[in-house]
Amino acid sequence: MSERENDLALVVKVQAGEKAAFDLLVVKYQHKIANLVSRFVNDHSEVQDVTQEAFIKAYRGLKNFRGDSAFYTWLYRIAINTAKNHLASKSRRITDGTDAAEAEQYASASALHDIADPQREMMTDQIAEVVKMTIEALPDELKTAITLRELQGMSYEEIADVMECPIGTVRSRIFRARDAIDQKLRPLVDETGKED
Amino acid sequence: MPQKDTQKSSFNSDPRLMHDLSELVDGEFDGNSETLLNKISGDDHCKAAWHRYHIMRDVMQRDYHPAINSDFTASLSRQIAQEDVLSVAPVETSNVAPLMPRKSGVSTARQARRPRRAWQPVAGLGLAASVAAAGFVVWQLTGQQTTDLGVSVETAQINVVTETTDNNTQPILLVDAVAPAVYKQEPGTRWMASTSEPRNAQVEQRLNSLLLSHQEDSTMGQIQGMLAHSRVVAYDSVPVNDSF
Repeated sequence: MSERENDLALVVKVQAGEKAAFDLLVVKYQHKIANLVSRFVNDHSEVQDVTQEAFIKAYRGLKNFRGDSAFYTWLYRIAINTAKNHLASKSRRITDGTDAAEAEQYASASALHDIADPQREMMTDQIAEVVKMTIEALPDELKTAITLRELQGMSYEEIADVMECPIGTVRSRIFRARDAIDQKLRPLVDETGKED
Repeated sequence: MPQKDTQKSSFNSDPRLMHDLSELVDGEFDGNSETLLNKISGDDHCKAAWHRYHIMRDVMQRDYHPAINSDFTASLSRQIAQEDVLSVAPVETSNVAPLMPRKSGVSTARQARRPRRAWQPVAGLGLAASVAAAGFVVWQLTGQQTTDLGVSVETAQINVVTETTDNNTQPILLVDAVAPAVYKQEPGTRWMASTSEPRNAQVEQRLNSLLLSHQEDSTMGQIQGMLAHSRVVAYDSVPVNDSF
């Protein structure tokens, strides 16, 4: 089953009333959507709010999702529209406010949000560092397999061709690489999926 | 940063399950995905592993964003819990278009970002229609001209009749030659008798005059612009003395 089909299977579950299935879609796409939203919205706390709003809109709109397009393209469209609407309403708020002090206060609040960001940046850096260092330390065959898969987007069959090995070996190598990274990542991301 | 279960491998939980999960994340799982997805969504350990596997991917693909804090999923989950439960007819898998084959060297994320070019087939169709229309117009114009100019007028046989009057035994000669005169069409607007037959200037001139009038009315009427008002001049070989 391809990734797109997996998404569709989860969508069907959500449409059938299984809310827990939506969590898996959120986990899968939350960073990608946040990254997309951050191209429109600078403030990190706003990025989080807009991302959350986009997912809620997606949940509400799933009853109309017919699978004509891939779930992620549909979700991306919702996120972009949500971000644009956010910018438009924010712009109205600022222009409607006749008091210059109000606008200044708004800017200060945004600045405060930015001050809190370094903690998150540090956490992000740490997670990224752990992943990178673990990959560097992997044996060559595992490193090559996981890199071809995650960075080059190759299928297992293509990787098997490139590495001149059976596809079963590719499956095993990618899993072993992931497991090695996972062991290092688990201390930073607890069992409930929260980053410490 | 607290270090919890640092050396605990996911192999300890269920190596086979984690292996399947790894393949499922890549869309390469050959088994029953429905069952596996049910298991993941219903099991916290599996869900956490699903989360970490996607964090790895996001970090490697540079999609990991610090704005998504640790409480994001839980907070969103609480909000979704307040929403109405969806109960709609599920998506039919037949609606789903077949996946494009994954190009080597291009990540799925990059493929997803590639905009869909829906205008391309429409533009191609429009271009083809324009070329066809232009070709049709050109063909019509050139075809019209060639048929007008190159019209083949079949040689007509003119039966020449002679009449006699009571007081004049000499017949009134309407046409010099009693034998049917054969006229052929020259290119342009000129009528001439065939070389084997004697030429009759009067008949020739009258026919030329009729032909000239006909061509001015028919052919030139289809030409637009100033050209329609121009005159077609026939070259008359009849001597001035013979004209009437």
